[in-house]
Amino acid sequence: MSKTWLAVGVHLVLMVMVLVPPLFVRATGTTVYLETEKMDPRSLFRGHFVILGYTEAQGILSAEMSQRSRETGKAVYVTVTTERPGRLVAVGLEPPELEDGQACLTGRARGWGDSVDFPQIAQYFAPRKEAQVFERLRGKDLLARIKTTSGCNAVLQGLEPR
Amino acid sequence: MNAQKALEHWRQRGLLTEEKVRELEASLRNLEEDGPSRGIIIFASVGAVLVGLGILLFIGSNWRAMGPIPRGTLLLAIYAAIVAGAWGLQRRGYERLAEAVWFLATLSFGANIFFLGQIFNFTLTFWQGPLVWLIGVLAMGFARGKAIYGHVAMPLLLLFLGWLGGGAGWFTDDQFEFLWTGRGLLPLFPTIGAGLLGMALLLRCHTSWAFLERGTRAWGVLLVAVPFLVATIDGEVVEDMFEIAWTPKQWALVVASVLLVAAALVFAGLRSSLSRGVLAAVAALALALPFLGSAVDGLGWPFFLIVLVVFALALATVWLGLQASEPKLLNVGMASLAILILIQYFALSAHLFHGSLVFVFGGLVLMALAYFMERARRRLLSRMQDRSAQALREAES
Repeated sequence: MSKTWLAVGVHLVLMVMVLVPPLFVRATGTTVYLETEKMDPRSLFRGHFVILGYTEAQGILSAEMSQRSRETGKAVYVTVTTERPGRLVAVGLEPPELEDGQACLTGRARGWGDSVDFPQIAQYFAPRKEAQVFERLRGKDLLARIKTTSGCNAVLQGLEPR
Repeated sequence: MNAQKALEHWRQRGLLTEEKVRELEASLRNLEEDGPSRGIIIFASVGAVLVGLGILLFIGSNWRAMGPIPRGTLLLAIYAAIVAGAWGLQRRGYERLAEAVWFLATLSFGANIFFLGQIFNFTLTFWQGPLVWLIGVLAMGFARGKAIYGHVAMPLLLLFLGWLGGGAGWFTDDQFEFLWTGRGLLPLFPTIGAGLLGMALLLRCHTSWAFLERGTRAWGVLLVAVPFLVATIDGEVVEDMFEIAWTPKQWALVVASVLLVAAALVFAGLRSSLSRGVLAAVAALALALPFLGSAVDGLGWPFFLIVLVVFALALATVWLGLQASEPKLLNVGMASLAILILIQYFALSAHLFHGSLVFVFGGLVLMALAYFMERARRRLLSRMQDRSAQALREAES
């Protein structure tokens, strides 16, 4: 029976490990609002969701940066302002030194193109009808409310009208 | 003649002692008691799955008004309630039902991981999810020692490997990308299967992890047999299936699988050279197919070479099943042979006959094949039983 309690302990530790990092980002991160883009709605295991791309991350990579990111698998760091909605400040392959009024997000080059995707904040889970409403609103009229840390880790808190 | 009469017959003829008859009767009684208990375990396990799904679906569709912390707390509370239920049942002596509820706790743990992922909008190909669930399954399997945990662990392992560094994960299709692209697991399924077979053989020697053996072996056989048989359809199929991008992950999987097979050949205590040969040949063909993929075109000689090797492997599997008195191995070999012959019939006859004749002769071939396969299978199984009986007699004498 002691082995079984050990297994239960492993389960609890793992669940807490999944729970803590995003809660930490939500509690300590800076709030950023970004205009949203493309969408698509369904996930294995987790039901309905909205796929999110971000306007400020479109067409921002140079050909050289895009190729290096793909070849090395290195993350892309995007710096934005903390105003509502946020605006692009810079993009690079190294973590940025942030100034006041700035925040950063970790992303990666999309396919062979010059745009950046942010895997950490790319999905928003919602009931089907709510997800369909968000799909109609996408773009300038729909802002994503994001918390991001100085290490560029981000959590998507919600979606709201402009 | 039933077993009781047979025992009495052997006792009267002096082939079995009184003591041995009592021992064998006790063994039969245990077997009879085991029947209903297996039924209880199966019903309880299915019930556990249904209860778990029902609770989680109810929560999933009714918690929109709750924030992340209440949702997380609710998930932990449900898990705690299930664990308390399992413990309570075990203390009261309901061992089999308790086992099902411990299994439900492991399912609930996995569902919680993905619910937590949903609460915080984790990325779509959330590879950490299957990995964390797999660790939880292994922990509980190690504690409870039941084969069902091995059967759950293997698909989780494949999902984790498939999603790790895989597709962009933006769209629904990307979640299954690893099943059908050269950058995913598709060209390496037989290689991974050979590695799993090696692992299953190694696990036989370690009692603590023996719960994984059956699941590992079953998934290994599936991952080897299905792609090998599909590859015998046509050279273009080989090219499509085994074209590979050779990403670092794919190299790592090849190395891990080769190491597992090599370790099994050396340390798993395989007594017959045939079993070692079959395992090595399966691994060699699995490794060769991604390299051969582009060289195999249409129905040329490299393709026929592949068909011949697969045919030889299926025959060797039948023979191995017979030698080792393993009915499951025998059945896998026979089924593979039957499918292989059918595939070759339809592939070749499409080029040679008029369309309607293909169906007429196809039906006849199918019936004849079924007849001969069933006869051969029965004969081999009966020979296996005779051999077991002879071994028993020898042990007695």
